Amino acid sequence: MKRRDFIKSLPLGVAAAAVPFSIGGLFSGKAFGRSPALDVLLNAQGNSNNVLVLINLQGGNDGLNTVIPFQDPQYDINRKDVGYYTPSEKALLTPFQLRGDLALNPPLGTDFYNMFKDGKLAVLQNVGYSNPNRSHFRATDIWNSASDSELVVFTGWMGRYLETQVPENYPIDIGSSPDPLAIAIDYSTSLVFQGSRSVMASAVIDPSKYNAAQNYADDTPPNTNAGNELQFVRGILTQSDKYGKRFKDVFALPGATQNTVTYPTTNPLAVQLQKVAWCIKAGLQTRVYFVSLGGFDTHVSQYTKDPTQGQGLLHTYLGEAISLFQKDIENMNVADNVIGMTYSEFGRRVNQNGSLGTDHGTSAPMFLFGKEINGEVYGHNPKLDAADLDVYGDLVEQFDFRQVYASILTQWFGIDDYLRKSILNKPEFTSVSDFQSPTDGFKFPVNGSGTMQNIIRNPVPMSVSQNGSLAFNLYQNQPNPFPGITTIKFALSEGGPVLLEVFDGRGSLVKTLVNGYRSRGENQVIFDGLALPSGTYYCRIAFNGKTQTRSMTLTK
Amino acid sequence: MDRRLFLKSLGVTAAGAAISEASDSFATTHVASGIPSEHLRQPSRSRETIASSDLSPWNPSTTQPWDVHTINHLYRRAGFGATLGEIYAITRGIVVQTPSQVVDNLLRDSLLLQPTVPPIPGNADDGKTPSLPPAWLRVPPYVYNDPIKIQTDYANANMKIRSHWTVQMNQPEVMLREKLVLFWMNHFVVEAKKVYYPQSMYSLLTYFRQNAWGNFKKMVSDVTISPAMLIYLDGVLNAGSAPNENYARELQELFTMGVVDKNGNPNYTQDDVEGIAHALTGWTVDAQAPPPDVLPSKYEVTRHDSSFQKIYDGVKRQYNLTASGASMDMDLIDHIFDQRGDQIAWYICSKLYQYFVYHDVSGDSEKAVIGAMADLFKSSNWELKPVLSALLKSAHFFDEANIGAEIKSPYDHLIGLLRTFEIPINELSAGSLYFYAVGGSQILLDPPNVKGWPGYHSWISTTTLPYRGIIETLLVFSNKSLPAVGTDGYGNAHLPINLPQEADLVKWGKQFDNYSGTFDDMLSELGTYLCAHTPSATALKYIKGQFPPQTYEWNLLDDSTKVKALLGMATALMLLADYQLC
Repeated sequence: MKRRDFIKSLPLGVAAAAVPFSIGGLFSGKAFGRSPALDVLLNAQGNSNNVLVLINLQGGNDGLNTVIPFQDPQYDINRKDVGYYTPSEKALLTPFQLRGDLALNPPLGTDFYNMFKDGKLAVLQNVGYSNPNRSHFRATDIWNSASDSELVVFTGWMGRYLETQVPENYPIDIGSSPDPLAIAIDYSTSLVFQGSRSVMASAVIDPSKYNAAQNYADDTPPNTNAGNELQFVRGILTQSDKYGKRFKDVFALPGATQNTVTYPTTNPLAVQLQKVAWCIKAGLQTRVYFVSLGGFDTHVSQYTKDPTQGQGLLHTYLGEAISLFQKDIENMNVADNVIGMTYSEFGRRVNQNGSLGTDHGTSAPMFLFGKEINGEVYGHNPKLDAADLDVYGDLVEQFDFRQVYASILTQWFGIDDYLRKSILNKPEFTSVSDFQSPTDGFKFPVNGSGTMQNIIRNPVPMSVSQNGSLAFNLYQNQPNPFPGITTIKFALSEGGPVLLEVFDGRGSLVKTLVNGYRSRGENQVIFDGLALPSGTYYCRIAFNGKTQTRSMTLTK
Repeated sequence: MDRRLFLKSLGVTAAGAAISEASDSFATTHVASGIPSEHLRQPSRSRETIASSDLSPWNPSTTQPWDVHTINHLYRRAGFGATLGEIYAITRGIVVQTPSQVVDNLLRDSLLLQPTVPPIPGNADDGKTPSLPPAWLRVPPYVYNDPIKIQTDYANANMKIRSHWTVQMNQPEVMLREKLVLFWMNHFVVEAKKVYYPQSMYSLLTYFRQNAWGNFKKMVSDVTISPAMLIYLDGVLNAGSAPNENYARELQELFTMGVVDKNGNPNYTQDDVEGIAHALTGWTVDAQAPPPDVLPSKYEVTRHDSSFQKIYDGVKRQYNLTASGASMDMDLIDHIFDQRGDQIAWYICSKLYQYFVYHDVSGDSEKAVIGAMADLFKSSNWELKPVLSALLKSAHFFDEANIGAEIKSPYDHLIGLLRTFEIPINELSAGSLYFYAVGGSQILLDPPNVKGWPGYHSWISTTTLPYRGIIETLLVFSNKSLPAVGTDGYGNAHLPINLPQEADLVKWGKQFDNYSGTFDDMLSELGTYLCAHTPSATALKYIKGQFPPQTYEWNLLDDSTKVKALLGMATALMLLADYQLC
């Protein structure tokens, strides 16, 4: 049940904001003492129970041999020995055609292809970013942190999103959700979940066999390197303890670990998605799942065509795991709120190397799948002519990967413009209509016939705080009028990213006073107008998608 | 504020031209874009000022004596921990060993030359029938005509190498050497699942054992043409005019200089990658060589592309490795070290610093120490020993802020447990310990990728941390024969551990000062020994509360009750977050 529906079902007949007890407490058995306004705020920033499954293809999946532009003569020239489909073999691609000149690599399988036929699989072509990095690790970090190529960012895009959903001292206070916000089916989590204060995901190999650990120290660690690390380990202990108890309850229920399809144990991706299916079926309020498949670094013997080795085998795993997972959650009637997305740090070079393989390249296709995905091919085919390639002879991106992230954040998680802007390090992506290809003016997303189309069939309405005035307040500056220096205070009902700016009488930006995370409660900042002419100025706060403005008078 | 300082204050490191004039508008755009500056910074860290930011030696003092706390620190960082006996021998004046003497002792060159018996052929996993030919390291692959047999033998051989390696780590005399073997195997990464030949894996492992603190430049040359590396990063396929860039890229990115220098400027271009790939063509592995030289590397001139390459400095030259014996303008490794010496020194010293002192090197004091290490590294002509010796003896290394700031790796944790409780292992029993390391996600010979285990925070997750607790409890409470722990979630069953003999716990317990003292003092002493810092009063109070009150009358308890209580205390203390730090 969605939380909002749950609130509606309460026989109180009052607005959610007036529910006089902690909703979180009902779920976790513990009252957190948070005001109703805060819960409204939290709900407002993530009211859907939509789920995203991230599938990370590690090593750099060769895009040209995944979604194959088989009619392009340059493909024939560049890929002669890398699982290349010779003219006589091209008939093999016919049952996998996405359109006349484009086909899925057959080892991905008929079931996977049928997801496209059924309109549940979107193929996004030529996704990358400018000045692409060819290092596995740097490129992986760029994708996970959603940073520009040149900028090192230490948080992940999902971490930045998810930390808007929890109290500031998470995970010591895990907030109102009894379940992890994100689960990585792995031994450790990924940069994609790193928030500015803590890791926003829990690593779990098998939630049904989870052994919890416990934290029973509550003193404040010293303010040293060692103290910081102690606090980190304690946070993990707390997560393990709280979520572990919940896993134990959930997976003790009969049938909790039954699926409606058989996931082959030999398929390393399928065994992970099987566990994701359990969690979704169990009704965990987890928003994001992370699974991964390694081995795509095909410098040697790529074997694209062979479903039993090399890239061909990996595509067998990929297509089989995704199609089984989709079938499973549909059979269990829990597929409506689930989409998946594949991503890899880069595609391979256009021209094969001398070892029957391909080296590190640039842009590549992504897959998005689910009942709510508008299954289409988005974008033109990779442009393989020498004149269209970059200086190293590699593909030039058509879409920036953050355009895809932006679509998911807005259309699937329903976050507003302001928050998206702060989550994605890409200020120019200010609204959906601005998602324009940086290289060729192509609008995004654009379907096969060239018209704008949402990737999500029924985008979640962009949420705004239902009772925004309760969520924050900008006080009148003191003193006012002021001779040069004045103090501006504002209160937040929950920590989050704040933008506080001063404009002059013409509406031009004079100064940015705050641009970053501020904590719950009262905050203040000094405004120095000594160098400015007398007159009326406007102070504007933007928080959680809403703004509030006050005028101030400078009299010298 | 100066833009550069401004960027720095954000914790932004930028590749390419980002920290340059061209970056100004770029940086401003980002800052004005609504990205909270927290996202451009390492997760929060604030701490006391670090006392010393150079390599000046540490001298014990009354405020920071050479005691259980500091001895433990050195033994845990330069090895895998100290036994009670080793610590009390020093603190009770039974042996006289200054910190500097301990380091010198660990860095004796004779330890490198000390022959180690290669892995024995017996089946290390179950102690049953040997399944490998006795001279398995000298059996060339071509004698096998049964593809199943070769796979079984090689899987067994890898298990034997792991057991053998685990036993080496547990030997106190060579603990620093083994700590460095782990470091180098995680620096010049090779993965058994790709290299395939255990002979080649073992040969590289042995190389690092013999050169643990040798000459780094020579190490780069040797590793470049080591059979394991030639196979792992496709050197064996790098031939002719269509070279394979795999090794050429990682040689720069991971093995020598990193993607960017300390100021964020790129260290190399795609052209340099291609140039080096061309220069290294022609090296391969001879799978047909007769014993005793099994799977040697060799240079084939016909596979070499002798075309002129521009690498770094825009001058076209013919490059090769001196070891090829072919005519050329310049040795490639000489050229790399000539052109990128500063960057190499900084990169390698940063990694050593992270491994031995603290992971986060973004602070000024860390950078100052790394700078001093890098200067010493270059002036020592790439010898590693002077750098390691200076670092491990330094006041910075012993700074209280850095003690307990590292997160134990699974092998720090596992070997540390064995040493703490003096649980003996041998090559047969060590095989089953492998399965415990699987649960901690550190499988020797099989790091996750060419960058190796990322370490640090990645060691601790909601999966691995509870698992460590299980290992601790099992090892302490049933120290001879451990039951299987179940599966690791991938379906790998964990075999029981069969330890060769039981630890003598009464003897162990009697070593403590407070074995005949009070409950509180005993708990505190044990906490100080087990953890990097004495655990907090609230934690100790909580632990005490778990015990029945009659145990508080510590001096009235008999030995067997005391030992039982001691193990209970130890288990509770090890479940604290503090125990995972070193």
